[in-house]
Amino acid sequence: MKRRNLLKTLGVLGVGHALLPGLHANLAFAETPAEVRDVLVVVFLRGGADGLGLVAPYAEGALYYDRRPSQAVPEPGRKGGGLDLDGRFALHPALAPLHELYREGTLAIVHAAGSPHDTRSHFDAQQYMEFGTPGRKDTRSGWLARHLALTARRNRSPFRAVGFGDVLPDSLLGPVTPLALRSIADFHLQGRDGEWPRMQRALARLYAHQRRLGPVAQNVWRALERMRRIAREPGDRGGYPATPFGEGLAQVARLVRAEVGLEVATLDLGGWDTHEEQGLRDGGFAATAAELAQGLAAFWSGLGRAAARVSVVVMSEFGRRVEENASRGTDHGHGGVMWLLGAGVRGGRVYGRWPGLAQEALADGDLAVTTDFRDVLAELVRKRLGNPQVDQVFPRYSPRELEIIEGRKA
Amino acid sequence: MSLSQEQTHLLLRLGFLPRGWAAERIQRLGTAAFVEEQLHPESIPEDPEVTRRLERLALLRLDTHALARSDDGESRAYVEALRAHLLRHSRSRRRLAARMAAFWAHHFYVPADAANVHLVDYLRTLERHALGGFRELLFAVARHPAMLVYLNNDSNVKDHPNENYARELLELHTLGVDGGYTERDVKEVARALSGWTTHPRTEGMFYFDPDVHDDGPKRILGRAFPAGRGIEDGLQLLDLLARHPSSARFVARKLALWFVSDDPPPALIERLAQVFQQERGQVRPLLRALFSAPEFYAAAGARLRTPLEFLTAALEATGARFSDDWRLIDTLARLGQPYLGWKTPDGAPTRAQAWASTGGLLARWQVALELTQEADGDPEGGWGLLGGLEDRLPAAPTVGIWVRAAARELWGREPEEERLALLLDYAAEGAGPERPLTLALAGRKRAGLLALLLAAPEFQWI
Repeated sequence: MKRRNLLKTLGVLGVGHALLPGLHANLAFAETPAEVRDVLVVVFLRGGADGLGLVAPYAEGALYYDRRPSQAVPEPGRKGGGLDLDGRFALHPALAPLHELYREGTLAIVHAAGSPHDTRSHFDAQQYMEFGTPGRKDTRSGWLARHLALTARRNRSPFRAVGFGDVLPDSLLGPVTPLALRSIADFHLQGRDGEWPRMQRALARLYAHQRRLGPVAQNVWRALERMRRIAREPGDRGGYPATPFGEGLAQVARLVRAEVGLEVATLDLGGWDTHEEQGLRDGGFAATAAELAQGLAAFWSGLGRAAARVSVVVMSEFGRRVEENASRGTDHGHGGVMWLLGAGVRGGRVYGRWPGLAQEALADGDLAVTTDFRDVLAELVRKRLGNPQVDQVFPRYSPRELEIIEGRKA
Repeated sequence: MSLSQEQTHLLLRLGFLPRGWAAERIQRLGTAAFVEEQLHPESIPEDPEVTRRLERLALLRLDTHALARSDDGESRAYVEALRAHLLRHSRSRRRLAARMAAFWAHHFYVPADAANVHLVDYLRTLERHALGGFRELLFAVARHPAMLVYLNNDSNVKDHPNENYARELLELHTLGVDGGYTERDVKEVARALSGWTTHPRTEGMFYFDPDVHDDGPKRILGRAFPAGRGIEDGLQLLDLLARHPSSARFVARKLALWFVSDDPPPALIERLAQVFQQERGQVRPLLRALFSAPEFYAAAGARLRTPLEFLTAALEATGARFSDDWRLIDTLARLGQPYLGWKTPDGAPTRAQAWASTGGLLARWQVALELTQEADGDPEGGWGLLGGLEDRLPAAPTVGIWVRAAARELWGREPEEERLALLLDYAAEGAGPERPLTLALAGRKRAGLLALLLAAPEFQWI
């Protein structure tokens, strides 16, 4: 039976996941050489990041500035002004480290990107996006998990998929057991001397044939072994923000460099749900933006030569309303910004059809979505992750690629 | 006499371990009377140690203003709230009341850092109504500063509506996302609740500001809301939502997720929803129906303990205590579930898949080891953990009997044959079940045996 049929039969694509743990074991033996794909790092900006504050459409003039008396990025050249990208858009000044990557051509921006579904609910919007099936809740698996299942190969590493943070994101829900990681150093297990060998043996056997937790336990044992080795290797270069996000990125860089079989890493950066006192120019928003930029820049330079086989995508569930509210904040909107960073990225350009901010161009008062987030991800999956089966990663959708990315050289 | 399977299951789902006071009580009273007693916690004589320790958590009795005035009040109060949670879920005899208070804190979720100085009063409010009525809860939450501030209704005004609370009110608190409302309803609900805010005039508590209330006519869920009725808009709205059949179904489903399984039978949800409607959202009849439902008793072993539930059960099993606040907070963070730390208003998930991760399982094993091996006989408590395991396991003449009895108390059942052999390989060092349990052997093995029982799959699934 072909793998894709197997997936359909077992219901990865929508029926349920009761049968999936068995799938894990089968797929682990499928063959594909490891070198054909990038490590993908997915950064999710939780809360709905204000795309109009990160990548300011300053050329819109009054259509932008009149609706944002206090929460807009001033034009380039003015005090506190943005960093010009292409005569239409300017980066928030706190994103200066990203401006450099943009000018070098490794960073591309897609504006007015997002989900075609019009929900303004965080939970629905995030889940639709992370499941990769806007408008459908019965999917029950994430787009990354489906990609991993479809490309399973001899890589039995417990580090195929690593989610940094306390809870795994919905994009990794599915048949491949991902690893939730806070730090490499926390990853060890030791009982009392003398007692531990027998205890360890009993514990391993207690989980040996458990239907649901058995594969998870196997991953724990394998991960413990690898971590012991990685912990002995040299440390990271500096420059990361001293936050969970910055520390997470540093650990991802370490795992990439250590070549432990990492294929997908996810990180969250929160703090974007800025209904009140957004602080776009020099408050909370500016600080969060700086954390994002500083983290990504440190990550990119810290990868060294390994950067040639890493792609980063940054996304959020939606953008925020064009007009600021009475609390100097912005409410949930629609269109937002996606970011692509990588050796294969045709950077230095702002992609996507810009719908403009004229009243008639808005979607219910918000920036319209002209690029479906799946268009961007599908191109990445096909060209950099060596997976032609995008119709399974994003079922019931025909992506329209934007030609942002170069394919990998074999 | 011993516990029936049903009684064991009920105890586990109420948050007890099947032993000690609870095991004796349910056998003496019978299942139905035990549930009835749990539904009236004030009638249960509390464990004096619990009362004593709760009394020491003095900040939890302060009102919000006094707390705001006290030095570093909100973070100290957070730790006390966490300690009260652990105590109520690992030692209190009024366990169902505690489980229900936690359920409502999950349903009407406000993260601790967002609730800030209002956290203590918010939790007290939910506790007060935990076994009362849904309508009272809904009204109390809608007017509580913790929720007003968290979901920004305090800045929802006529000219600049803020829909955050309006949306979550429908999606998460009442109808559920598939409950039959439209985007237009969300906007209209926000208009109805405009002006529901906090104000210095009421010392930061609920205040209705007629000046910023949108007094135009509205239409919500097909009902006309006439113009010019001020605060009545919101009151009528909440009343409508509290009585709505979608709310009944949504709350019934959430309760079933909490107590039954990740995929509760639709027939059970329908029946609970009917009870909810007939009894006008009263919680006690709903719980009586739940705890007498065959579907409830058919779900043994179907629910994965959340990390917080794992910790409270492990604390009950070991009697260990955290003497250091940071050690406690860090332990929950490593397990993946900081207390009231979930970042979004849907509250931490209850479903197994959310918690069955590699890191999460490792953390459970680590904590199982820490609570037993570190806590046993360390009088210094130098690592922030106190405990002694001398009397935590039943006495027994042989290792085989010892291991079986211990499993009954921690897992609610005896290990199957081959799993017993795995435990005996450790506890009897391969000598078999008949090996006599000497004091020296028990002393050497009790921490390891407890750790294995806590780390095993049988302790994760209840």
